[in-house]
Amino acid sequence: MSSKPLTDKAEAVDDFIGRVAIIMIVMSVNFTLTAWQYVASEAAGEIIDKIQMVSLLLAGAWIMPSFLRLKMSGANEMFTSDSYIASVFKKAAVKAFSLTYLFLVVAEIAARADWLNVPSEFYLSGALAFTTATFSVAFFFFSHSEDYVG
Amino acid sequence: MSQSELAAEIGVSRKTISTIEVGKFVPSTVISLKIAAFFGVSVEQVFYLTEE
Repeated sequence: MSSKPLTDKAEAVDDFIGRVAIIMIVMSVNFTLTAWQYVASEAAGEIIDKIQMVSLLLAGAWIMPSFLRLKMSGANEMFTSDSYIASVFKKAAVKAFSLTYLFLVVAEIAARADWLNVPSEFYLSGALAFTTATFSVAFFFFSHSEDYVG
Repeated sequence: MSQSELAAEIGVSRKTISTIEVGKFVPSTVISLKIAAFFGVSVEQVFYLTEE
């Protein structure tokens, strides 16, 4: 059937986008650990480094087949932007951006007032962790919600 | 016709068709036109506004 490759492309895009959303959770944990390194002991920092290395390798190995499938499918812009999953992805990205903005405002106030007595890098890693976590949560919330997406 | 078969004919994922069917996803103009063309009807016969 000539239309089968079209579905393969669409499914490849959906699969890749779904995996990216899950990878964001791993990234969030990693950024959280990076932030924690600024307040943890040196010994704990070495353990954190190893955990991050292993988790990133596993995440890369997990998403690579989906990425290759996407590339080999030859899906163009229409397939990457016109599906339900792509719409949920965009909606989650907008939500994450809005909440991250609020987070940064609070983080700036905290940094200026030195509430936590931590280096500025802590807030940067914290912001990255917050962004990726918010995106992942929003993605899975919207994709399982009964509300329409369009 | 199953959702998978329609998805194959339109060139979208099965998830996209199933979410359109239950009213959870508002499709793009391109997808709407493709669905209408596949069934040989106008877009208005497939998609229409409802009173809320």
